[in-house]
Amino acid sequence: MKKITVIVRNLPFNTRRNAEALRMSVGLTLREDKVTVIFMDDGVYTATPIKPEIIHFASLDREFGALAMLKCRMLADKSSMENRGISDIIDKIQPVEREELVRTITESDIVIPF
Amino acid sequence: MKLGILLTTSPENENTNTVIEISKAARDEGHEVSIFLMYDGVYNVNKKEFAELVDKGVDIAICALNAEQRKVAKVDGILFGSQYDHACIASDVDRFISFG
Repeated sequence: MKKITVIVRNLPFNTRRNAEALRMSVGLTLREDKVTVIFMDDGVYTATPIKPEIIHFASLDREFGALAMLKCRMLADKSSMENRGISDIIDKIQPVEREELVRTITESDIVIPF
Repeated sequence: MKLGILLTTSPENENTNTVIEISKAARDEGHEVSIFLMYDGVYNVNKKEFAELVDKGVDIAICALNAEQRKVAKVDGILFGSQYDHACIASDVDRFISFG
């Protein structure tokens, strides 16, 4: 079993990359590898309880639900959150210190910045 | 050695040339190479130099959902697959590189 880490760093509303990163993360579990998703830099906005459907942008609820059901760890960089004044994130995502992120990344067999 | 590559950018990005040259060099050294294309990376099947990697023995699979969304037509020798094919590549290779 490999440890695979996917890093989401983009803003949520100017690209479909973040949604695709989450869809890919769900797919990567199909061979029973251990997948972790990290939200950092502007990617932490994706971890907030936003309502994209208000502007007719596809919701990520399904992807978040699937990842949680598959017991994939979802981590948000506390430092990125603090720099952007973000204190409220989705309950499925755990805010962690940067040291924990570094440990997760360095222990991974594959790291995919998406 | 088995090398896996994920490419998510379209052909105008320098990533395409890098992937082509890395793949050729790896094949010349006798390594197995598997490439998965998704997101805008699916457009690379339309680039002649990229599609010719199949003739060098490179396995190329693409996300059929992303291809359909972008009206990318099927190309001989390239598997129009799914995220499961990506999972298999990631799980089976010795080294994995992501270009996005």
